[in-house]
Amino acid sequence: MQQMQYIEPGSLTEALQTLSEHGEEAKVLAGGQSLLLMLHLGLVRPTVLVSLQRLPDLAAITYDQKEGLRLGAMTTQRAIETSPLVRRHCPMLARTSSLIASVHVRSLGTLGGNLCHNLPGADPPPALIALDAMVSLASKRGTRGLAIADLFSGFMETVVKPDELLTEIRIPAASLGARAVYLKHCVRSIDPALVGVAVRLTLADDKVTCVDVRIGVGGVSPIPYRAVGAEKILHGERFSRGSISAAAGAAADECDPITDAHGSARYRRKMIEVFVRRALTAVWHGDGAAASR
Amino acid sequence: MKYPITLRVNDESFELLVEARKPLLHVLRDDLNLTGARRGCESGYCGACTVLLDGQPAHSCSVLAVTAAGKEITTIEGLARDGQLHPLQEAFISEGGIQCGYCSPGFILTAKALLDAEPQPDSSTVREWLKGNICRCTGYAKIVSAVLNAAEKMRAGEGR
Repeated sequence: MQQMQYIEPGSLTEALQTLSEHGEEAKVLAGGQSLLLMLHLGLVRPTVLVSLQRLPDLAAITYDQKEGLRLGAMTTQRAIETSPLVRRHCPMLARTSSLIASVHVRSLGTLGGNLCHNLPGADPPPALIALDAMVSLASKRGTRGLAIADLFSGFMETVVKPDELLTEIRIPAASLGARAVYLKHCVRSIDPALVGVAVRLTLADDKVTCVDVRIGVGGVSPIPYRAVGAEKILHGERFSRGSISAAAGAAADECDPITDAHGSARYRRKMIEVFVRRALTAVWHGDGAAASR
Repeated sequence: MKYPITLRVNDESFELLVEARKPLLHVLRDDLNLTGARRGCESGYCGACTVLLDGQPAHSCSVLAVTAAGKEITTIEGLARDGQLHPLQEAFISEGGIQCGYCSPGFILTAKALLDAEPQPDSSTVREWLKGNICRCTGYAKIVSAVLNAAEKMRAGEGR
């Protein structure tokens, strides 16, 4: 069996140096809840494993009125789920984390690791898309910021370069405090999402006219995405059963669903219509938590 | 490559030389002869290999032994004290929450983490925590009532 070196850098600088030295030979180990399975199955064969577990700075959650929420890439799903800051300022994200797999996986699995693997049916991507989140990718060459939706490039692929490290996820202040909901459809509750729909809505003062809406979709296709066609139907319109149904229909029309062991493309297309409708209805009535599942 | 590590398991320290890619599960079973952590799906799904890492349940198939160095590891072998079973173990026996027994260590350890965090859980919280453990004998109802009974006894001060 191929030899594998294990490195635990003690600083971010050291981690970036290590990644720039080893390039494609190296894999970053965060919580290991996606990577180790792939490693044991032989789907990845790194010669160097760079563990981030000695970089506690990467696990910080901070909030600022102007900057919004910042989550270090090494923040565990369990930390997000239970964080008073996240629960107060972005309950939808805390709830999304709580729906991931099991407490076992959430205690170790990190937000950064989840995003960098882009596994089909992951819950955080649609939620973060609806929240207009940004990510920071650091390397020895510098740091670049990216809208979350631009991170994902293909089936289990992202635009993260071999020498880059996803360090931080930012949720802008403007996305916090709005009505937001994430609904997940899956067979067993520890499964990934067959369809995951996140909606964030800003209504006008009349409480019916849609000023702004974001719809993030996961699980349906290899890349989580924004349901732009469905959003367009609602923009500037009055919320009603009719406009919600039209938007849900548009979401079904514009999706490009996959077939896998969990469900067929046809089923996913039907379910996205159902779940976009439910999510929009829930967010309109402002009872996101009650409408979940 | 192999690395020298110190593993803290059930309040004991073990000096080991382990291959970087070796999961904690295999080190516990093969090197330390702690076979209470079971080999199940080996893909972080079934929970048969559950151990506690710093008190939190983890699938030991999905943790590298090298990353577990420096953490407090608890396996089912570490629960009994002076020949006295843990109240959760007692409850699993008395409630019939144990059938073939293969999944039991994992269930009991997950339940221990729950009761340490939340001494008075309701049954939906118990079910939520036990989602990461699968019982193929499907004796879930008795497992849940075993956890609730153990919680009650522990609150009443009987056992730990």
